[in-house]
Amino acid sequence: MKIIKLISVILLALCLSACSQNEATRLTNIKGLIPDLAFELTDENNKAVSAKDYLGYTVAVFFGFTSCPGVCPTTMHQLVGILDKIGEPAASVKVLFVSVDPKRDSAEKLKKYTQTFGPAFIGLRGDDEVIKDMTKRYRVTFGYGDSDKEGNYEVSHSGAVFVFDKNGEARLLVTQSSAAEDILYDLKNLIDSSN
Amino acid sequence: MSSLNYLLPWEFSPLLVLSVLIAGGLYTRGVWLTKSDQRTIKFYWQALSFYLGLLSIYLVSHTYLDYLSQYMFWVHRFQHLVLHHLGPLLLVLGGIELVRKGVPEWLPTWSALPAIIRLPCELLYRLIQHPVVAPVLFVGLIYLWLLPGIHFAAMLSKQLYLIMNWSMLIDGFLFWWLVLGPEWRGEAKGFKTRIAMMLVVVVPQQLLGAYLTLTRSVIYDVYDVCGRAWPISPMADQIYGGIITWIPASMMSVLGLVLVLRRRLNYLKRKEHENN
Repeated sequence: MKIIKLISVILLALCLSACSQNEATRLTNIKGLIPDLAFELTDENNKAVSAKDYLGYTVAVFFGFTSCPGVCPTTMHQLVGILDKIGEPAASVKVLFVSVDPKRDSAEKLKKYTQTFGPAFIGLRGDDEVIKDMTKRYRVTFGYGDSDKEGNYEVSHSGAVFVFDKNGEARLLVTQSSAAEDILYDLKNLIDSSN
Repeated sequence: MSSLNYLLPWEFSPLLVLSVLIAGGLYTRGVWLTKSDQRTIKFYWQALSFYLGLLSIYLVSHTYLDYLSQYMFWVHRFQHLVLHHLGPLLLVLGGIELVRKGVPEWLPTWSALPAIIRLPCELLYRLIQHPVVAPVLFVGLIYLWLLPGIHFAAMLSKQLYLIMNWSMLIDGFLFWWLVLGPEWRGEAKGFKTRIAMMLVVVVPQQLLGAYLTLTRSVIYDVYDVCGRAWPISPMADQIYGGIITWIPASMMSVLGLVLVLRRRLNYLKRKEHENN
């Protein structure tokens, strides 16, 4: 039995590595690797929203927090630049900034934060458990460091942007090491192909 | 989080639960069926080793440790240390062959299975357990899952992650079974092969561990992509992971070497005793 299992796992591994390369993208193609877009959260206007509300848009999801000193603002600014370069078609893109620090990130704080980046950016929040379930679904996590005297603490979180197409299917993974021109190239192709 | 939550599975795996229950159940039945006069101190030590091995495999695969293994490189290295080295070695030393004794009689025996199933399996088993193939596979799997591209996909895809861990566990078991299973009791035949196999697996593991520990840049960015379980610098995470691969993992192989030598010496002593 053990041997049969071994052969099947090796074969499966080969198949999986083959399917992940079925489309020529410069970024990591996550079609089939990561589940479709699904969530029920509250947006920055305190309105209950779900993934269905964003069907028809190309959606970029990022898990961050507003007091984040480095990765979050850098990633958001990079996306602003890329959407600018894409121009008009970028109107069909929504960037969902999901807070992994809902204790400190109130809806107002999120709204103020995303406004600095533009109308495509929407802050989302939810209870700790809801956020945990959502991050688990996308195989990412977050954790908190110890609080200092002022009550500030470090947060470890994912630095990735998950891009979903208009049908809510996972398509691209943008990481901290992705080159801006590659993101532009793939995102543009994705928007074009779904039009 | 209450302490009970740490024991709950991060992702429930019926296959794992079933495997652990069946292995544990059959072994316990085997122990039960063993006549009390055959039960010596050694026998109880063996049983302890078996249950510890099974428990360690369960703990790293089906509790909070499994969650940490997905989001911390060094915990992942620890998980593989248990799945590939410690757990299977404890099972083999624990006399896992007692499982066979515990199999109920109404189940068909292996030799009663149709040849079409039996022969290919036996051929493959013989290939995997070839003294040249087995060490290559043992070290090869460690390297394979640590190739940055493959490691990235395995940590991102749930299926691939499971395949990775099962392959490590099964290969670990087959390897230790080959080296220290009940088929070899310390005879001259097979002694040198076993020593050679153990030596062959030590060096590549040390090289890999040293490489992970001493590299000055982040090799596995998947932990930045997915986030870490708590704030820790990526370099520290990689260095701890490297050290675990370098020292305890290769030490386990050295321990294997010592166990092979011990079995050989015990055998020689027994023979000498018989001759006197």
